[in-house]
Amino acid sequence: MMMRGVLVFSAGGLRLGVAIADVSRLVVEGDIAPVPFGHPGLAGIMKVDDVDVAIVPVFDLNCLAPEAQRPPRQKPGATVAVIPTARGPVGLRLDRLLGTASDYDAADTEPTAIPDALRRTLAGAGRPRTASVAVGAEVFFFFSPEAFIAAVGL
Amino acid sequence: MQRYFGVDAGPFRLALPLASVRQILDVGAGDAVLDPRALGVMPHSLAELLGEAPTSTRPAVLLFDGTDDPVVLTCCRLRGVIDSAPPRPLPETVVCAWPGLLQGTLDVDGGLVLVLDARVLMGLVEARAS
Repeated sequence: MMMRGVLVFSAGGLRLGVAIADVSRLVVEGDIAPVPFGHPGLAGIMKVDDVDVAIVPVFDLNCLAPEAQRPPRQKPGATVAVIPTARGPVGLRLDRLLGTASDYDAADTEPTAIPDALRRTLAGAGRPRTASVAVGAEVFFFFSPEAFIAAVGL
Repeated sequence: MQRYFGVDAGPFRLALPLASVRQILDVGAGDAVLDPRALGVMPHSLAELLGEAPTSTRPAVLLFDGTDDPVVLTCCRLRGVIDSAPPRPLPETVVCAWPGLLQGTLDVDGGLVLVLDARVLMGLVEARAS
């Protein structure tokens, strides 16, 4: 059993989880400024008022497939998980925030029928043991911020 | 403080160093139809240069000093002069496929405005034209 807190959410059509310690904050998506010649999965940049004002790129996992449409520039009210990485902050637009799991078991499950670009952002799977109601006990896949950075070529 | 000229081009909110804008040839809007022949130089749509469709049928027209020849760009809306502190650099996680084009962001009226490097933009114009 793993005792590491996990934030569980849906994005890109998958149930995903990321270590709570890896998320600096959750924000409600505000005004997004589109960026010319940006990555196809980049909706734009958003200002996040933290201790200092930070500029955060907001990515949408639904748009990692090669044939995918560009993400909607604005998705007002969506939850964005701000994840610090070695290259700078990454904002991940969540389709739905499900809740948290305080412990889980490793699961030997592979996602099926998803684009390779999305698969490359994943690092294993877990099955919640103790979790908030909306999370339930279904398997989730770990979203790896560093793998994401590599997958989108940042 | 630095001075910029703010414009909208398609979905993009942009600013260019004020000194890079040589002349405002047409403020846009209104009913008069713009005749490109009167400009003497074929205008380029800034929105299209940046990969998006323009959102105005009656664009404003700006004259720039290109690398070799004058460059005329159309944009959807003029926002006017912006006096601002130097742009805030973008984090490395914001990658633009045209290196050097984006200098950073300004915070204008609570919204983010992207500052373009005028010299790199002129290079983009020439690359698209050739």
